[in-house]
Amino acid sequence: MKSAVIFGYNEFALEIAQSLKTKYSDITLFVLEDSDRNLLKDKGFKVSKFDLSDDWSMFETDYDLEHLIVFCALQESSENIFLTISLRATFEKLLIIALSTDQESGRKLKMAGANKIIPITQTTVNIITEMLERPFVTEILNNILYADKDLKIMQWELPADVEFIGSNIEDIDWKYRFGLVVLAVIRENLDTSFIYTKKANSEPLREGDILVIIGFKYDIANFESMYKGVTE
Amino acid sequence: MEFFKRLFIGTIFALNGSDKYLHVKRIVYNFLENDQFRFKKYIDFMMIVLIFTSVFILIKEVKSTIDPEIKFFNDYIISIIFMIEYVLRLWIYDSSTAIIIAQYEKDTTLSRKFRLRRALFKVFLSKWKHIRSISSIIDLLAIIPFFHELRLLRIFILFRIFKLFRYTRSIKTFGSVLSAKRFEFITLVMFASIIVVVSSVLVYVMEANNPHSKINTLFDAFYWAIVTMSTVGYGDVVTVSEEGKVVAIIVIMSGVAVMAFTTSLVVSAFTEKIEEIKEIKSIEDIAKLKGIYLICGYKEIGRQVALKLKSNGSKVIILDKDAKLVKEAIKDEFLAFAHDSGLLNTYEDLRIDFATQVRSVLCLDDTDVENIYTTLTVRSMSKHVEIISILESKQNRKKLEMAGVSKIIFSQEFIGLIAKEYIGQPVAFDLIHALRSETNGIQISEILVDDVMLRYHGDLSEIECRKYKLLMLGIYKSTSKRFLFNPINSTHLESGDMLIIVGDYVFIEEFKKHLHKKS
Repeated sequence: MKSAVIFGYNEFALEIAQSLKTKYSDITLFVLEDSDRNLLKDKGFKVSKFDLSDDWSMFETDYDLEHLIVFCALQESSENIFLTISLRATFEKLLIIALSTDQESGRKLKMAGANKIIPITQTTVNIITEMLERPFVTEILNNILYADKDLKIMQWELPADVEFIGSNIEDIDWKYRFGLVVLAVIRENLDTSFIYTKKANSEPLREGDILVIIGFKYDIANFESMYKGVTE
Repeated sequence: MEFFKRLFIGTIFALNGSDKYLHVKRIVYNFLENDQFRFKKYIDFMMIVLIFTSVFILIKEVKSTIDPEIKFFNDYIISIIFMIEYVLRLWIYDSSTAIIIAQYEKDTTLSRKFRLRRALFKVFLSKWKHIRSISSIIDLLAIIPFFHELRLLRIFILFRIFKLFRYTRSIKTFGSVLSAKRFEFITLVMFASIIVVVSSVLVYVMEANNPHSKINTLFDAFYWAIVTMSTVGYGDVVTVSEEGKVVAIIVIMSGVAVMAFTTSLVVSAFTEKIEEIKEIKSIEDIAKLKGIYLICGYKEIGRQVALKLKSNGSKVIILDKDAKLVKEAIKDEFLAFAHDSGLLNTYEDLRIDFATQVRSVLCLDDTDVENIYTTLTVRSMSKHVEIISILESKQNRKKLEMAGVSKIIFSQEFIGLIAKEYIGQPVAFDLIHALRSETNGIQISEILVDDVMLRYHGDLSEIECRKYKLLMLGIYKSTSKRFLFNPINSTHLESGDMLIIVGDYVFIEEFKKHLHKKS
């Protein structure tokens, strides 16, 4: 069973819990104070109290670690970092997503072993400036990412036996054949680079490349039926 | 007589209600007095040129003969221009028609005859206030050379130099800075005067009868005292007696003290006023700006947004109550003011015109209370300006909407959605985040289709995206207000459409140029 654990009692933690409801049936909020526990219980959440000095090995018995995702969303940066490093010290492969308020705490969270950092301030800043300077882009991206509209984004890891291996991405007629747009090709060893740089454009596709594709729901469904391993 | 009175008051009422008359008066006011009026600087420059021309001719005239045309220009043309300026300044100083009408209405209310003389006297009193002001006296003296037949009056040309106070802002600023220390300067002048008077008399008494001394008159003694006190010490007149030398020592020491005090006074006056001067300068700069983002609150989010907007080439003004944060903003090279964004006075003091200057108001304080307060203030001044506010607590959303915010940013909600989307497809999500933050030089850009572009490219097939390594995500159609995703090549372009392009920043810039040229 897929489970999610969210540490902290604040608006961010609550919003994350609300958003995950559709994807996760087992969501637990871990709070530091008894008062917070009671408040959250009243709101219908599954709540546990914790202490930063707790021994986290109990997670092994309570959760299926391979299907567990942990969000560190404590208010205090120092506590959040301590919690992250405690979890990572106990579980090497646990998926930890941490919220950071500034660049400094973001760096420290990364060093503490978080798999993914969601920078709160930077995200807000990006949303505001994008809304001001590129309102159409904002609307389109928000529709693709958040709203339940016709357009969807998906990622697809190329299997070994697929016909596209060895072809250049631009030589495949994505528009007329599938009705899709390939936004990027991400290759493991290229780290952060994604396509539509000259180099990646001219390189033939390989097994393991990840294609990020945008398309209408029904086009994506058609594509999924034709090829395996597509995730939405 | 009654007939003339009626005719006069009728004319006055007509003038006071005449849009044309008021318009002309407003134009004259703008040219002569309104520093915010963009064409005033040309008039100021012209007057400065006339002043220097006039003084140059005066100097030239001392040892050479001047062409009669130049003399005519100096004596008549320049003087007449100055006279016209003087009369216009007198006219715009107040509203004589309003004063007369006020007197007429007062008399009518009290059921008595309209007292024309009294009304004219009030007009005179009001104008007199202007006439006796220093700047007006200088203006008047500068016109006097017009009566050039009176040779002595020619020297009044030099008074034209003083008119520079009116036209040169730095001289005005210097004057206003020094006038702030008026009391200290008067005290110092009094002290210096007493020393000069006492020492001149003492030296005169001690040296006047000495045959070896050059101090024979009280004027000699006075001259010696001034030269010594100012620490200039020409040495043409010196004391010879022992007693005289003792006085000289006292005068020299007092002189040094006076000089040191004067210097420190000027420096401290400037130090105290420098912030004020800078703020006045900044306010003047605001008037020239258009398409401003007004950021209210310079805490972390405010600062980051301001920096990002600035890096995109946008104009930003910062308002924050906290002087420390404003100092930081100034250090970050922003126009910033330590004013409360929730007060009407702030916008009046800064002379911000929401209708013509402001693109968006961003309420980025970290409390909903402050953001709601600012929103209400701005909305009370402008019904149409776009207000974007961050929301800290979900329960205050409705209050922000009621206050008149156009768009609300609730970060917590976005973070929740990000978390959800990230779980499903982390790679895709990282990609979109990278595109949004433009960290890799790759960005999603909007390109507006204009008439010039349409001249060369009628549909998408004529746009060579691939050549520039760009990806066409879609078109936002201006007519249908719909986003056409992945449009086919025959899609017809219209003016006002927005192309949504993904690619390298450099290529996008090149692509924009290509769109405005024939393929």
